[in-house]
Amino acid sequence: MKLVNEILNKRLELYNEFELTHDYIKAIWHFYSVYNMCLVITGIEDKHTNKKNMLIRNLIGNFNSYSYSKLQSYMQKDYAVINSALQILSELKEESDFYGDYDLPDMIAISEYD
Amino acid sequence: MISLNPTITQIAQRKIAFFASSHLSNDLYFLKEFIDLMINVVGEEELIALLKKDDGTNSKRNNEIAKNWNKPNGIKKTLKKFDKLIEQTKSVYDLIEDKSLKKKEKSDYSKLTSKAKKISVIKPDIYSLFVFLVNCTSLNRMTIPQEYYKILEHRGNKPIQGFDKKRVISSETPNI
Repeated sequence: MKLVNEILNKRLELYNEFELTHDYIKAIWHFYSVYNMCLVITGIEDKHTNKKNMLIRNLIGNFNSYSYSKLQSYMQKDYAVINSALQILSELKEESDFYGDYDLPDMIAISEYD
Repeated sequence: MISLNPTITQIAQRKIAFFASSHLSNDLYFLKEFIDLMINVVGEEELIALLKKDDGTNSKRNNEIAKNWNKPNGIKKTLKKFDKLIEQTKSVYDLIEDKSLKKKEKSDYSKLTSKAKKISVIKPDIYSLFVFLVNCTSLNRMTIPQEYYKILEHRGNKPIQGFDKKRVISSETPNI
């Protein structure tokens, strides 16, 4: 799950950046891409998929505050799914001790600067 | 875990980097490209068998994908339909993201939004297949090199790489 974790973090970073620059459509797109992956990680089924998809389509076509406020109410609940997925990933990270990459017996030093 | 050839790994990493750093259906284009590549590398029948065997947190969805793979409402048909929609939007997206100094028409933007709004963003089945394909291969333990994300820098966004450590260190050291 190391790579999935990385993708999630990148997309959340982009979501945050677009939200700060008031580019809401791109921010929503990134948020729901993260949400899709979080649904897979947690195994949760979403019953409001069609409603949310409709709202997002409306917003892409014609951005309006009514649809956006409606979608925001869903987004607030969806944060819980994202949070639980991130928790699962951090638990997995702790269990496998950095996914076992850094404790190889023949390893002398880490070559990368970062 | 299926170990991948280094060249395939590099191609797959690039596709994932483009997927992670783009939006408005362009990301889905690279997601679909990655899925197609991995289906061909892993093998369709072997992938179905692996999906059936899955016993993780998302096993219910993965087992259903495997069961309905070739059915009319299965993932194979869904991917084909998805492909058509994405190709239409991708061509418009490329026009707008063109880096030349040519003036962009306002109608191009409205074309993109009219095409992109046909795509439903929440698609748990396709993402389920994507996450499964990443986790069942050697890509699972890898990271994506930072230079693959540079697509964003060229398009005016802030680089994701974070701060420059050398500059921070040099500013902290006192002047002698």
